[in-house]
Amino acid sequence: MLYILNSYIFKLLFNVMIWLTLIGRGGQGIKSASHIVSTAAFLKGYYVQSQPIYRAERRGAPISAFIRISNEPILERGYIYEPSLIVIADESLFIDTNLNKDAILFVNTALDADKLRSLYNIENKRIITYNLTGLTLQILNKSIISVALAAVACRLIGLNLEEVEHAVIMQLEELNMQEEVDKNIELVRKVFELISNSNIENEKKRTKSVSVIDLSYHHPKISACYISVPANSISSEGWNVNKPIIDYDKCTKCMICFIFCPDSAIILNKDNYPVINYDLCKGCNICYVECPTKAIRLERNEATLDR
Amino acid sequence: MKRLLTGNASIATGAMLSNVEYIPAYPITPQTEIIEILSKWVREGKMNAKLVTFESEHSMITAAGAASLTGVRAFTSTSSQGLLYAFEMLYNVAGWRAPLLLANVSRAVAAPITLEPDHNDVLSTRDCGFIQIHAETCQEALDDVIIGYRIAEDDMVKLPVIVNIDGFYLSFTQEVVDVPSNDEVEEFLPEYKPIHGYLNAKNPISLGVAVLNSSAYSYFKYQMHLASLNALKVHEKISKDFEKIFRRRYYTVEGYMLDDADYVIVMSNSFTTLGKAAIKELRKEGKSVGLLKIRVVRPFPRDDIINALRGRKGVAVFDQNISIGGGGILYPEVVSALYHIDDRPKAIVSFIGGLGGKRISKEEFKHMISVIEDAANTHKVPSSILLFTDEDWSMVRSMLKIAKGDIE
Ligand code: SF4
Ligand code: SF4
Repeated sequence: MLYILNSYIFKLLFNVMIWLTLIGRGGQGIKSASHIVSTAAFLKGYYVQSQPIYRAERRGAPISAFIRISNEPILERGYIYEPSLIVIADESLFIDTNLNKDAILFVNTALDADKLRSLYNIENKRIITYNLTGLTLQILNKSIISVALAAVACRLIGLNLEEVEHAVIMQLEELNMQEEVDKNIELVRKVFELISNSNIENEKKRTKSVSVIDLSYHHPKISACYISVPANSISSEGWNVNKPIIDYDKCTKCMICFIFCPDSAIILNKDNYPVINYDLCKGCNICYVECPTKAIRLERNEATLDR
Repeated sequence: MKRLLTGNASIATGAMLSNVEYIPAYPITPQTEIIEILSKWVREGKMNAKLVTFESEHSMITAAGAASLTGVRAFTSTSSQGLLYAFEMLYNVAGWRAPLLLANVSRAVAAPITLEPDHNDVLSTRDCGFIQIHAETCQEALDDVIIGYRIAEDDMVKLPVIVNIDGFYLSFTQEVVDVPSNDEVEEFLPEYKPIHGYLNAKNPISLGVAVLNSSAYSYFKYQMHLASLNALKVHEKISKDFEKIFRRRYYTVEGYMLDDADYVIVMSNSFTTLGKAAIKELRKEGKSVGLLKIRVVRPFPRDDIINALRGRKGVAVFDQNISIGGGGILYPEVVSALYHIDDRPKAIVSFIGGLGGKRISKEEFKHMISVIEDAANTHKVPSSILLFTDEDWSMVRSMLKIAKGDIE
């Protein structure tokens, strides 16, 4: 079966820089994907710079990788604020992500572009979607999408199949996964087949203007660094595959779950019973493992069922 | 051979090419990758070295210093709080005159906790006797390790070296690096043969002894100072050797579009790349501007700074650090170097920016230039200026609202 996607290929012209951002979660292989893209561009002879940014270092936390590719030495570093192309590993990331509206967007999802646009209020004119997880499962028998994501990015940038295959082989060797090479090459070729060859040129970069301001002294209530709410104050809702449920008939109020919860998502009520704040619970299941009376059970989180 | 390497991989590659034999280690983000790479190479037999994990950076530095004096080339690395935890022993191993190399991956110091870089960590250690080389690119990171050992082990110096790279902006950033061959490095960096303080079971010596005598203490300390200053000459000499073999030349300070520039921004480390881009753009607008990068921070390259900055109209010293209650750390050093020359710049202004890795926008670079132009014309020099924008403030405001409720 051959899918032809409505797609866009960037052209690396002289004095043109490609700004690419890959967005995913820790554990999805974003770093690997970024290394494959940068290696492929390097093998093609371009100047390349690539950098992942993690915040919380744990599985499930959002991670971005920024890649710059140019015909000239690169006098930039760090965050890419206005990427020309954004490749997103799954649609749950729209909650955490501010998108440059001028960027071309690729999203790994089973939904089509129009559905996505209305669901998440995305203004980007050009959105390409494809169920890469499905394709990867079909070919690799597992859902590690780093190679597929890299192949999509390389294809959209306009790199050649030859360099991309070479880069994938190098990356798998680096990870001591030589036995996976054949299937991953098959996956790369499939992605290259699925995305057609219509060319567009790089958009001009839009730059927001900022100005330097004076900072005056603020009362320590404001200017000392503390948070007046428990845990991270950033909702982890939507991270958890399973949510913990407490059976108060079995609970002995031992407080072990309260102590062990790494995100302070469990508080004690006035009778000293533990109560889980599901906005803050990231679904690590530690409370479930630690509860000595097995008073905590896990239930599949309906909200994340389709991911 | 040209390869794509992260800053951390560049440091590790520099250590491997220098035939490092002993690696005491302790993990901390964003440095950990260096020891992960080295431990992989040791396991695979690519390096003939012993890697030992310690219970703290304090012991790790002690082990590196002691090992270095038994006659093995010692390498270690850390970052931020790790460097501060080792602080006491930094003074000690420098006092032992142990020529080890420590890679510091800059990360802003808590509290508040963050992961991205500024230079309060590495600059807090500026007085302890380490030579300090700060890298702008992954290429420099690799080269500085090789150059660092050559300086450290020179009999005119015999002091430990810190090579500094910025967390994230270099540590995890892949760039194209020209990786030298083993043969080339062997030609440049001779085998390490210590002739002082050689710890050896056959001829026991005592190290780090108590002198309990102020004259002796003064003597030994000032000898360290002289040794550090010698490193300037040694750096110049070995840079020529380096160029012959590797076809790249390094200086203690490096100019960018500096020749005829009336206004100059002084900076260091990886953000220098951003400064260069801004200077390039300002040149296109017809501004007479340039940039001076300080690469060797200790010993302080006083004469080279005087030569680079004399006769300029205005200078902005960009400090990516903050001495609380003082200001920028490098600013007073630059100003004092220039004070006694007649053709010193009319205005030298202190800017503090990039704290916790905060990006510096083109507008902020332009702001620096317009402030020093004003100051040079009016002879009114403002006190230190924080590079902080309306956009930064609106970001902080929204975070404060989440953290503390209403902040009005
Ligand atoms: S699963 Fe349990 S331990 Fe983990 S965050 Fe949620 S409440 Fe806390
Ligand atoms: S660990 Fe189990 S028994 Fe103990 S307080 Fe929590 S839910 Fe109750």
